[in-house]
Amino acid sequence: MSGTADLQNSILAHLSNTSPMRLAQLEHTLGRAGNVITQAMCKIIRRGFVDRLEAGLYAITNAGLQFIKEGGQITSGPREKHSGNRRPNRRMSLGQRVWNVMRMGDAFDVPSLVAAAQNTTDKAPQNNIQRYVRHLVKAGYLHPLPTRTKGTRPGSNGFSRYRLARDTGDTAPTLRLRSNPVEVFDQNTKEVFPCV
Amino acid sequence: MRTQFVNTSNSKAFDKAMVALGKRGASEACLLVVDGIPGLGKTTTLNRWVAQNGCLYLRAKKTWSASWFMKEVLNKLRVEPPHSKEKKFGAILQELGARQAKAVREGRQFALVIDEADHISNRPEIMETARDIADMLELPVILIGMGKVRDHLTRFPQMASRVSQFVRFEKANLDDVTKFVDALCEIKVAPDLVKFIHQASDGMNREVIEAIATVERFGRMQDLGEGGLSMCDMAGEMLMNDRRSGEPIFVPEVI
Repeated sequence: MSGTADLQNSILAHLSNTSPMRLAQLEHTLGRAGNVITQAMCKIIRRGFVDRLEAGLYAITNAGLQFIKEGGQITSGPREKHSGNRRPNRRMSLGQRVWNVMRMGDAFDVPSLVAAAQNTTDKAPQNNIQRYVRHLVKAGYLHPLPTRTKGTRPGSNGFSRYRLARDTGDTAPTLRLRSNPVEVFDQNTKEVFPCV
Repeated sequence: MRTQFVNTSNSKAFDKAMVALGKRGASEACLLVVDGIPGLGKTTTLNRWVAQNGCLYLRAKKTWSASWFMKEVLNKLRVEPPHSKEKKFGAILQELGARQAKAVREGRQFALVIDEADHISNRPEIMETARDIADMLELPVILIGMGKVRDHLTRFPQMASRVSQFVRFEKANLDDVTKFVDALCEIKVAPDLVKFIHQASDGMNREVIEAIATVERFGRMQDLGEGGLSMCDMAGEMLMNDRRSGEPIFVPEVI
């Protein structure tokens, strides 16, 4: 639940009457400490309602005046409507690291992806990478090559080799494992590919 | 055989050079040259570093021109390459600058990595373009080659002066081979066999890995003692192929 930002609203109200104002004047008028006012002022500046003309001198902007005119109240809630879009995964996740290796252009197999992409914090990297690769093949991102890498265990069939067939950009496609059939969502093109 | 990256003395030297590059004194000295003969793990080390940091990786082609190089950078960055060289260069600066800023925000290192740089290290037009990109963005550029890069750079003093670090990949020592065996082999191997693998492989990573695969395959069919698979157990068995002659190397029956 969002609450009203009382101090920010009073600062904005004072600036709408007298602009520009110095920090010392605001301290005197509002009866609050300078550092508290500065903190609140930073938040108002980020919203674009106030400009800092020089150190300790603030002026209201046209956007701020418009906001006051419309009777707006600064609250702690969201600043705008939710877009409904998922934020791109900014973390260097296992999938992202695997995608980085795939984009380098060479043919690869699962063991080579594991060796290049895993780090100490990953849980069951081999299984996760195997599943990621399997779904990317079904979604048409990877092209299986005719020859396999030889396995080292007795009776091993070896490992399939692949090449990236659809390089759509920096961000790794994500798996939607709860969909039926499983889907691959591409953050770069905003497309969805079913894994069939 | 397990699949994992083994942190050898070469990869440690590379990591050290990257740290030193981050702390460089002159901001324009942002070139790093990695060289060494094939089979010492240069590409494996760089692949891993690029994967972990999300850097831009290119493989140089023999027939590259400066324009083709810029076009390939833009293709990797998923930007439609403009027609003129000037606009291509501008687009590269803009896109690489944005990615570099993002990497800084996320606490990652960002660099332009050019593999097989021997093909381009004697081509002034391409090298000057790479230098301009490095200078204008203060972006580290890593050139990976097989020994010619360092020699070719002496022809371009303005480039050579910008090389902050040289990393030469050396043959694996006994410690490195022991690390490989411990990390990759799923059976226990006795020190005498590790020493023989080091000697027979001449410290080449590719041959060491081939030998580990053979040792593991053989060892799985044996009843091993506490000391692990030794030279005595493998006497007369083929270990690997000699890189130079292509002839098989056998574990000696009489030492």
